[in-house]
Amino acid sequence: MLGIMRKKVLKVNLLDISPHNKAILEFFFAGAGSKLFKVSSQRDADAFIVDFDHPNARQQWEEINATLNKPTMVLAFYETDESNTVWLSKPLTTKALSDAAKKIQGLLKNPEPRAKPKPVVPPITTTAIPAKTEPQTRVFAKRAPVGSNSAAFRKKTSETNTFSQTQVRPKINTDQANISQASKTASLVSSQQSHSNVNKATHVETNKPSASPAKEKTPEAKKILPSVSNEEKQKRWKKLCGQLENIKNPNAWKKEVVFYTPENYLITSLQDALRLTTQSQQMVKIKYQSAKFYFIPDVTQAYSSIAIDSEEFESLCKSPVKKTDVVIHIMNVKEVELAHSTLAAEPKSIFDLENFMWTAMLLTSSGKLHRNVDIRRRVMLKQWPNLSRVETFPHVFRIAALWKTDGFNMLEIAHNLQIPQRYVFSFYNACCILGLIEHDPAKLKGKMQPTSPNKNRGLFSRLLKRLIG
Amino acid sequence: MSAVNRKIIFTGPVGAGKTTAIESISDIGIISTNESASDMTKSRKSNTTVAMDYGLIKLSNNERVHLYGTPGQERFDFMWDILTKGGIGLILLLDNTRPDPFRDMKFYSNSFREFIAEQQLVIGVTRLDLQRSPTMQNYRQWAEELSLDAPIFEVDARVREDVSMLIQSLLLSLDPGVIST
Repeated sequence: MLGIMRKKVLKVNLLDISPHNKAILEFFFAGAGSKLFKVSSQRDADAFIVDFDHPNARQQWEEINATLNKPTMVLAFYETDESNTVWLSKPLTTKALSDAAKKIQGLLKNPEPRAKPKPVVPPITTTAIPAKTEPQTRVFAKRAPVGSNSAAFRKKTSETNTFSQTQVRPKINTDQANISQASKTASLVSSQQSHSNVNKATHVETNKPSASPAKEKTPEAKKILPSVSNEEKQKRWKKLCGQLENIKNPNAWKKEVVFYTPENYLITSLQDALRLTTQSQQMVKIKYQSAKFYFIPDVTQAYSSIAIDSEEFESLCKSPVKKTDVVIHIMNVKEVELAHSTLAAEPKSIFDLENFMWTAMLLTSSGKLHRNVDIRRRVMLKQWPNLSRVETFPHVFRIAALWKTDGFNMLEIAHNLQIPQRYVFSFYNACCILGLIEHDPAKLKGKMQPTSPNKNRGLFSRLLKRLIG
Repeated sequence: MSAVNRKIIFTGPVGAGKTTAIESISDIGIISTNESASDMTKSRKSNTTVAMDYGLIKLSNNERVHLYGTPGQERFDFMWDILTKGGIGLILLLDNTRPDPFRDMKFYSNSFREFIAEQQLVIGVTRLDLQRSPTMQNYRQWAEELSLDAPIFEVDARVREDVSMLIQSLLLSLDPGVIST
């Protein structure tokens, strides 16, 4: 692919670009793209590269281009229609960059006519507001509810995945070329949208609230994620939390609880790898049969060759493995380079590391408990897990909230909340793997009582219902 | 029957997503007091909230939850006390792409310390998708250092579900026994 492009090196100047995309570009220019691109000064450059999703980037580009007028590669989520530009959709890929270089070379040979200058709009003058005083001028702009404009955005959202792509150079103490610097990280969540455009209220010179015109509605607002049917959710929850019945006789709990031995499953190796990557701050590779995983510490992400919501991954987590069959090691320079290409090529295979471990733990335990756990022991939640980004299951918020107040044992939590014990067991298991459970009895608050009902409980209940639906 | 009105306050630095978060969850088109940015804010966005943002969740004719967003710039801190009066909780949005999110966390939690002591704080970290470092673990450590007892979630202020989770955790932290009815 790159061989075809071996023509003239394109001298480019990087204008405003987000640090992440800049890191990707620099990495590409230093390696695979070194024969295609060379970073140069504004004057010497053949072309510019700019990230239109970066705050004020477009404005800066317009100003510079007004005098220098060079072909430009525009990185953006949405296609741009500026003349003499080549649009690169995010996330960036090696192929897209190579193709863009080809197109820019074409533009250099046959430049597009310069676009007519846009009419100059006088800046809106506002009175600077001195500190601690009432604003002299205040502009009220009422935003209309998001309407049809959001439909296109929702469509786009539903078409894109929600996982992150990360390109990483791990910290490796070596003099070898290209790898000596500390980790350079970039994140390219394909569903991401720059927030730079989200605050476009109408500037109406009036003190009365006024409805914004339709054009001012922000497509980014009220982004709605694709919904999953109840049936699918139930099915998934069964996989994550199992279907075990409650323990009927707490005094004889050992006879009723279903235990498992983590050392017999992949989860223990994953936990070892997590410890290794955290302590060493190096990328770690885990290989078991045909499956491979990379843990990337500085961005807390994991690459998995198997989708974590697949049956294959479930089967991998639930099947006994010999620990000696799992190979874990800190990746060397060459492996990191190779991994980098894999990460760039497979953005859908990159997951938040906490989410990855959380899901792996849930699938492994499936409502069962570690064979050494004492369910009568009171423990406490140190901190809430990142529930907006891990796989949730019924009652997870309520469990977290109650367990955060004080030390309770698992049966007390289930009893107080009147929920099936398997959800409490699952929550406990998943939080344990992330180190979020406080086991030290000296650190528990010692009240051992649920907090008294808030005076606003009725309103809270109705608000919760509204939020949950 | 008398009307019941409660307030939830959204705060955080310029560009963290306060206005957007309120817009994501509000039943009404939000009312913003936006001005063209004229200071350092300009480097992050063209318009900024100067007095407050206002949104609303209507539970019934008599029950309303008002959503207020504070202006981000510190020079508008005189508004913060006014806005928090009668509030049931504070949602602090922190922008992960800012130069020093720890400083932001420290500054805002300190500015609202009296309110937080009385009510509840929830922290939403925005733009982690754009910049992965600092990590969620860093935020948890910082919260511990600052003795903040607050749920911390990664959020996209444009996503209703994310903003909803912040409010859910706020309500449940205030009253873990509450169930949706």
